[in-house]
Amino acid sequence: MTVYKASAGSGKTFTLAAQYISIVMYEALTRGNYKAFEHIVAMTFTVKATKEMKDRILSYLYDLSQGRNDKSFMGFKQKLSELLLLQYDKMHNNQDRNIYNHKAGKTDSDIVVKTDIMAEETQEKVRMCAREILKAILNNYARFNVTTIDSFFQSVLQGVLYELGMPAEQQLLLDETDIHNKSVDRMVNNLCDDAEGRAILNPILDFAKDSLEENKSGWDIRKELKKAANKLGEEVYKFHAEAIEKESGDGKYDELRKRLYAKRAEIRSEVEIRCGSMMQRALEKKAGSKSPISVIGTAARDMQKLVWKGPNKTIQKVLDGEISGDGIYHDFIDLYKLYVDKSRLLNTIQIVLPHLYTITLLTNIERNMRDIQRENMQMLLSSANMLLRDLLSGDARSFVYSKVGPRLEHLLIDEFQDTSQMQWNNLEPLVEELRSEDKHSVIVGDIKQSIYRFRNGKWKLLSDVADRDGFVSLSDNFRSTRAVVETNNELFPRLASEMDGILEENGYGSNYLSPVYEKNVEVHQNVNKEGGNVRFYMYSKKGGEEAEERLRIDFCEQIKAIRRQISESGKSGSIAILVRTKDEGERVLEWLQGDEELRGVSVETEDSYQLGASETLQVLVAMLRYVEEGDKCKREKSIYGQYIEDVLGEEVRNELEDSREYWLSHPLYEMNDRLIKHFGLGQRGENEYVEKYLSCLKAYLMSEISTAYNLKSLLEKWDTVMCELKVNKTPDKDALTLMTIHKSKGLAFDYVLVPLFDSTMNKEIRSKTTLLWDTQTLADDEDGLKDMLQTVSVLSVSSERGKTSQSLWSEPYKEEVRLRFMDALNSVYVAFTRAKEAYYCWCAYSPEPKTTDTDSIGTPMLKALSRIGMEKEEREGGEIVFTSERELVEVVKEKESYVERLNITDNAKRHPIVAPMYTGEETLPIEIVNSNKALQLFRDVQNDTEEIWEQKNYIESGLIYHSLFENLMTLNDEDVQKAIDKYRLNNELDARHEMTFRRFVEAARSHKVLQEVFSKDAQTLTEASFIVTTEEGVETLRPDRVVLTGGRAIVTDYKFSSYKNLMLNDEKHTEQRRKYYEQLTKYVEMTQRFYKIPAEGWLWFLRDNELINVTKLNK
Amino acid sequence: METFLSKVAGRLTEEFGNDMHKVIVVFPNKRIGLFLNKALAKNNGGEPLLAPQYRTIDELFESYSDKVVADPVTTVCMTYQAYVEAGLSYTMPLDDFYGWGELMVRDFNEIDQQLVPADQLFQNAKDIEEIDTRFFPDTFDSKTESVLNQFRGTEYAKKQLKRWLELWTKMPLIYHRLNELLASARVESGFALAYKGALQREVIEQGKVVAKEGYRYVFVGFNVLTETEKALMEALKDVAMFINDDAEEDNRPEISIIQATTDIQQAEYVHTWIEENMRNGRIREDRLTHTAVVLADEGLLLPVISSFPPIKTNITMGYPMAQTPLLSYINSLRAKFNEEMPDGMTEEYLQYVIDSLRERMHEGPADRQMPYFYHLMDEALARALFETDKLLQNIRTGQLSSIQGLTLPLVQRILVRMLACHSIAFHGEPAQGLQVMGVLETRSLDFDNLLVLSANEGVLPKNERAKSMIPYVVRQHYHLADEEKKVMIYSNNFFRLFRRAKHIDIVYSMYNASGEAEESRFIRQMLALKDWDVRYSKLVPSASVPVERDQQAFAKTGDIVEQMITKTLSPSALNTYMNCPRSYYYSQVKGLKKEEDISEDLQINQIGELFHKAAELFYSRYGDKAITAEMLDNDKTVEIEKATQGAFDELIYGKKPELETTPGFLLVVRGVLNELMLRLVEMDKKVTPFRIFSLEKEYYCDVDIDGKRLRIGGRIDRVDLLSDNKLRIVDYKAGSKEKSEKAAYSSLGELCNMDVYKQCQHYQVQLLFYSYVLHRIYPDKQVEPALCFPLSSREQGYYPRVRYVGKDGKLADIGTYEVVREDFEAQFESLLRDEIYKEGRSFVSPWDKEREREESFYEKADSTRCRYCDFRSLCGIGKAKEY
Repeated sequence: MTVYKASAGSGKTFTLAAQYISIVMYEALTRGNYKAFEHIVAMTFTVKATKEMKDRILSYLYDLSQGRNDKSFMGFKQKLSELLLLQYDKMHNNQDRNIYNHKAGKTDSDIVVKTDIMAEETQEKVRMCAREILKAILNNYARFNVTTIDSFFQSVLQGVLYELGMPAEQQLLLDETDIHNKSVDRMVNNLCDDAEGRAILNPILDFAKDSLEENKSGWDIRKELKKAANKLGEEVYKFHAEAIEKESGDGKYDELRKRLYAKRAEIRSEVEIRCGSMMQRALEKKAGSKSPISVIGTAARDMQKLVWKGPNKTIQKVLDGEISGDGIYHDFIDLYKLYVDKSRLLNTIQIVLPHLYTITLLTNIERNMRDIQRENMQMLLSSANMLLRDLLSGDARSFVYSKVGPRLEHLLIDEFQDTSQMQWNNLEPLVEELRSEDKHSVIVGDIKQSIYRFRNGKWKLLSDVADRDGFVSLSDNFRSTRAVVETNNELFPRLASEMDGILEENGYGSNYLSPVYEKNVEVHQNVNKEGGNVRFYMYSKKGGEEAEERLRIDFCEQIKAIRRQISESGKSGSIAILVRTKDEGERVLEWLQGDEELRGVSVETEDSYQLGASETLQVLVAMLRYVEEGDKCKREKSIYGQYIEDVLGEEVRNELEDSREYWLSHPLYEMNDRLIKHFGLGQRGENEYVEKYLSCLKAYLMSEISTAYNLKSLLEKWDTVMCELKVNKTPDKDALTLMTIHKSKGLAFDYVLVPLFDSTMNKEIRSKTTLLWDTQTLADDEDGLKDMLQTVSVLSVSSERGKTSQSLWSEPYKEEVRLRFMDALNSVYVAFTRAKEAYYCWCAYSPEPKTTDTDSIGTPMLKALSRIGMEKEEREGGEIVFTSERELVEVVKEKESYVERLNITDNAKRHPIVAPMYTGEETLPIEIVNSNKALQLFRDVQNDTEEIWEQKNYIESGLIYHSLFENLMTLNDEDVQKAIDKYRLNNELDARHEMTFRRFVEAARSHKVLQEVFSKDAQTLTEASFIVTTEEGVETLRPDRVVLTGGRAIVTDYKFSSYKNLMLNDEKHTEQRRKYYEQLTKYVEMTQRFYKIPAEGWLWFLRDNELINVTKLNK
Repeated sequence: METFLSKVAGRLTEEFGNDMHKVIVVFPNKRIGLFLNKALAKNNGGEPLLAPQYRTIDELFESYSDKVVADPVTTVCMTYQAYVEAGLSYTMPLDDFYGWGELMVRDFNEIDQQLVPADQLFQNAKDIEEIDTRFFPDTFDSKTESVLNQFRGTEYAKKQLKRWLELWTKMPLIYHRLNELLASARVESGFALAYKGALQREVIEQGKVVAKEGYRYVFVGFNVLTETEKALMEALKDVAMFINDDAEEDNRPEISIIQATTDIQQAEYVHTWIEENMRNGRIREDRLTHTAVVLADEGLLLPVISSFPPIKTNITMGYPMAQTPLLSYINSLRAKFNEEMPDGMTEEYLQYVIDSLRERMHEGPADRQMPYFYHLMDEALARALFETDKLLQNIRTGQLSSIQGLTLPLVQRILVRMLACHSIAFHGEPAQGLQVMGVLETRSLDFDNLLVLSANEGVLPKNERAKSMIPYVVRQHYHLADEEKKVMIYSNNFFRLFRRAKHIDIVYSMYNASGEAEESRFIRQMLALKDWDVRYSKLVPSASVPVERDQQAFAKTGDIVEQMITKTLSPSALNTYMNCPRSYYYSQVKGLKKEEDISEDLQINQIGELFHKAAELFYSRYGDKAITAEMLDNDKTVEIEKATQGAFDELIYGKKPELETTPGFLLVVRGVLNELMLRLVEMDKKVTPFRIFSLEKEYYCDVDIDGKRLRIGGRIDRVDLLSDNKLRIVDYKAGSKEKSEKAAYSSLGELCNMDVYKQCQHYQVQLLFYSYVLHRIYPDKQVEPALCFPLSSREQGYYPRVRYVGKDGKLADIGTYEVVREDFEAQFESLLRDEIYKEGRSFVSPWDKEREREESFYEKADSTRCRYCDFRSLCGIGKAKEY
């Protein structure tokens, strides 16, 4: 297995694609097997990355198959060649494992000859193999397994649903939030006030009071509950879900609550009694107020404060034994020790008690969640992962995999640092198996870019694997300029060690961040990228408003300078402003708005292209609401009506008012579409919004079939989901991008600005939260508190520096702090490595830093910067600017690592087709075939008399009799029965119809001409089609029966309408008659033309048993 | 270029002359006949000829059998019966089984159509698990189980494996029993049932395929065949002719690959494409049939129809029933039925649906203005009635009458699913006009111009994960590759179109509903494996100029001011004005109102209302008695509970009695309300003894504005008479601590300054407003305004009062009104005179000012006062964001 540690911009996708191709190519070159790809699974983290990976692999293969040989492709071929040689070596086992550290064995001519794809003589074979592989992949694309981890396990799960006892059409849900919300709603709606209900109601009330007290969002308890429900998504909860449920059901948490209260009282009274007596004793000594005895007496009054703040000089001396003589000092030391010891316990109880109800709450929400999933045949992907775990870890694994697809032999995993424990639990056995079989797998990741801990990402997994198996560093940076790369190379190890220093000084452990940053930042320069610029503006926290103002000005000036630079160079350049939170984004926006020049520059934020921001859609939605509202709201009071009037004018409102009914009778899609067209909403310059909206509407209509959708639920959907969806718009070239660091991962910009660096990073470190902790991580104690707490599996714990760090949970707390430091530093890394050309950073520092200050990154930043040899300039007001600028050397860039044929997106850009929305109201004149008369049937089923039945349904009956007669050869009884049987073969036959049919046959026997028509000797055509070309085009004619007999043809058509009526001489019936005759005449003429014999035509009115010889009539 | 069908026509005429009525042409799908007829006619020079008969291959099979293909519901239900009879140790309820039943039937179908020895396959499927756990083949031996555990993974995994093993052990039983059950069932006409595969297999294995005397068979356009199909053709080969379309043609169409952003953009492109191609002569009015719009995603039909220009068109696909309002209506009946007949059974449900549909039908025609929709609904209704009735009959007396486990939810699901499969045909002359069709419908047809939409991976070809219960390895072994075959058929069919076309435009979307979308593998194949010239394009929206909206002047005319003055000015109206004159205009002048509805989901203001009511009820009990601390202590529990109950009775249950039985969230509200009341009482204890001077009483006074009399005032929550004879104005705020803090941040001089007016400032202004009124009424009494946040009552040093930022920048208590009276009166009266009631000013929203400054960032308004404004949409502000 190969583990790559890939720093930002080091060509990760390139490497993975090369690895992938090397595996399939090796098989192809050595064994002529082009289908090795079926046994590879490549996993990425996002759908987007999946597509990129596919594009890359296919493009490289294509280039190989085309024998591409230009310089920029050589890099890839070189890489591939190395990898192939490595595989060859491995197969032949004659190289040592650390080959990567050598210059891949190129001198060994023996090997080169075998498979070196660079060699002239192998070119043809390489081309052929690449082509065959490409063919194999494209012809069996479903087995081209480049997928997200989630969808990989999804497909595995699909294979074992039966065994899990689940319905087959289980729908997997990726997003947990939605179902959390529904569960909370359901829980709350079903609350009741009986004994049983109290068990749920009470924790909610506790929760409600708490959140009111902390005042997160006032009265909106539901919202707070929904936020709290997010904890269900944490793995520590999921891993223990079953146990928690049981413990909660068994009342363990309630029991624990009582025991903790008792314990607290017990400890308190024990300590307080001793403190009290200590105070008493000190008082009795009647010493002077400044004397040590009085000091310890006062201290005993509030031991908690003493322990928390640390002893003052006098007390320290007492504790150190420097002040002694009186027994009271000795006792004080004992008391102090006792207190320290007990305060650990008290703290532990203190951080647990207020949140005990949380777990009960969570289990209740979870129960509702399960019910909802069950009812809707849905399953959360994370639950699915839990279910799979047991199946995939035992011997059943190979069984499971063999069920779903070809044998897995190679795994390629990207962004491994973001893998969660749960995913890894399911993957690891497979990885291990492949490893033991010595199959080649590849893991790529970068701890430094792990910033998704809040989504359960666990970088430790990567470091464990790398520690065990060794790793290869991808050390070339292809993204950034020299200035950016070199600064980062120097800065990060330094900053890591400074931050480590803070951790160490505060007792949180040592040497935590440095190993990650020292080993990995050996990024080499990519020669194509000289030049560049990095600048840090450090301003003093003491600078007050002035400093703040300077920051704003510096920031705006910097942007202007970059924009000038870009426009002077005549090229385009992207500028990104990175922040930590949305709030900060708003602050930055205010700055920009405050600047004369920048005010006019458009800023693209994460919300920029939201559908809700489109006025066109707003007015459309207002129309929908106005229509839906009906008369519920008095016309003149309707806000929506007013809005429509404001935007489109009074006439539109009036028109809509008058046509509510009309619009309401449209199906939903048409209602929207036609409102848009009718009121010209597609011509307002917001087509992208309108189209996106209609797309969502279409998806909504398709997906909500199973639930009743209607206008009201559509509007709800708009409010809750649709209005926040975004238009997929190509960003404006001149715009500034404003986004959070988390969102920026995986992207690159020419210029990056990080304006609120310190507050940004500090938030990462400081945020006070409650965490779910496994009780197994508790430290030992002598008072049995640990045992008491371990009667349950998981507790919700408030994590705060004071209490938590001095509790039985101090170790997990320290680990949490360390992890936060890592998160913070990683965010910095991600932010600074987004820059291609240059980056700029603004950071406040404290001029007189305290060593205990773990909250500020300004201090370590300043120290780090001062030590890495950047150019330093001190400005007034305590501002310090560090700059690192490299000279620009023009180098011709070689773009395009693969050829263009497969790159649709870039090609397509060059040929835009302007596609306006259809604005005409006249659309396709479509009609619904009114074929089904069933409605008629149902409509009259109440007054179902024989007569009406017959009358109304002569058409249906006509069809039945037609096919009966079609099967009827002659009029004798045997053939009649045959016809009836044959009909029954495919249809049901009503007894009434059978009787009628027999009656018709009887009638036929009385006509001579019909005897001829149904005679054995005649050559008969039933329901045959004549095709003839007429002026109108091709016409198909289907006379009911044509017989050739006695040198002539007889054409017969059956009619089931009333003969008597037809013979009436009113206008309608005359016309009808004319049509009948005309049609039959056509038949006759055609028969004559076709058979070239004379023909006659007959109309047979079965109901009245009348025959008309139309041919005679015509004459 | 000669089309495939004209070739076929040529061959047929050559072979059979012009009388083909004894020729049976077998196609993959039936409607091709219409097109072939046309080709035949053309071939025959317009002279009449007798057309051949057309059959699909399935019809041909059925004609050889004395069985009929059972409908899917019956087949699955019978599979369930067989499954139950097999006696597995774990049997799913039919609800859960239904999907598995479908899969089993699908597998059985495939096994039979491929003529695979079924029993052997089942044995192998069972074995694969055993092979893998070769160490302990006997998994059912309970004695060894504990030993096994350590080797076989967890107990859990074992249980699953056992299920699997057992199922496949019993699978032969299920398979054969299903066939028996179907064969012994009789439809009314007396025929036995079978599923499709079994029927075909039987026909083949029993050698029933015989040529009809005197008839000849022609198989046209088949490429990928099942074993039964092959056998059928083999049996008829002496009297059959085979015409396949697999010759490579040396045709080089002009191909474009076009990128779209959304699928709607694709649909919208259709009209541009047609117009453009008509203009450049590719599409000719007289040759419309030679052009086709191919929809890989059938869901795109409605959007395409909606933006199709009015030209002669034939749509081969029907209007999907699933997208008619009728299906949604039927769906909505589910909930209604469950509500109206909580104990209702399946038959009652179906009857209920039928009755409801009938009732709807009797409502008569909708708007005759729209015959299209009218007919659509008509047809949908008829179809639904028909199908529902059929299902009901089947359950009552038909094949399903013996099936156990057809629960109500399952039947509801089945019904909707069944109906959703239907589509309603459009009227059209099939062989005329521009063609709109699905991919499979293009089989055997050829076109000059093609527009293929939704050429996305997962859509073209359709993404149907290999759905089967048979393990992959076993499938491989028996060459069961249903999915691959489907893809092959799809692929053949798609690339066949390139052989004779002149222009092909293929459009795909870069995004779908769930995010990034991938181009179809067919596009990739085309680019990577074929050296065709391809043009790449991208659809961009037309650059239309945004319509400038007429910004209306919200000027304060004399009339409006008159109108304003006739109304009493309350503190909340004042606050509305201070916050945003525009919203004052909308609510007070125009009288716009948001529709209110009381639901269990209480709104924030309703909770406040409840609290006010509870406090009123609680204190009204004391009359004008002096209230002491002891009294309050005594009443803390029971009386508070009573007061909250009273508030609920009056404000909630009084209006919606049914909520009493389903309290839900209200219970939480009550709990919290009690807590709030408790805190209020605790707080009030500190000012005892006091008397209640008034509760929820309205106070008014008049003010002169430029000679006009304005009435101001409002309802004051509570006025206390303190022991020092002061009047204490108590105003409850059920809201948050944060707000109580923020409420104090204005300085005295800025209280009535609209430009600096802050969100929480109205608390201060409101209290002073009341003080102003009360002072006018009782000029000789001291007035003390008390802003009361019960939520904050337990904070250290909290005391209900009104604060402001003093001249020194520090917070100061107002104490008695007297202290600020002069300042406030001057400001307040000037506000009324010079701003609010000033003619000629306008109702400017602070939003306007912000909007002036920034164009792109709409969200900002959310963080401030617009967030909860009812009229936000009138200003063009989107929905409030959640943070």
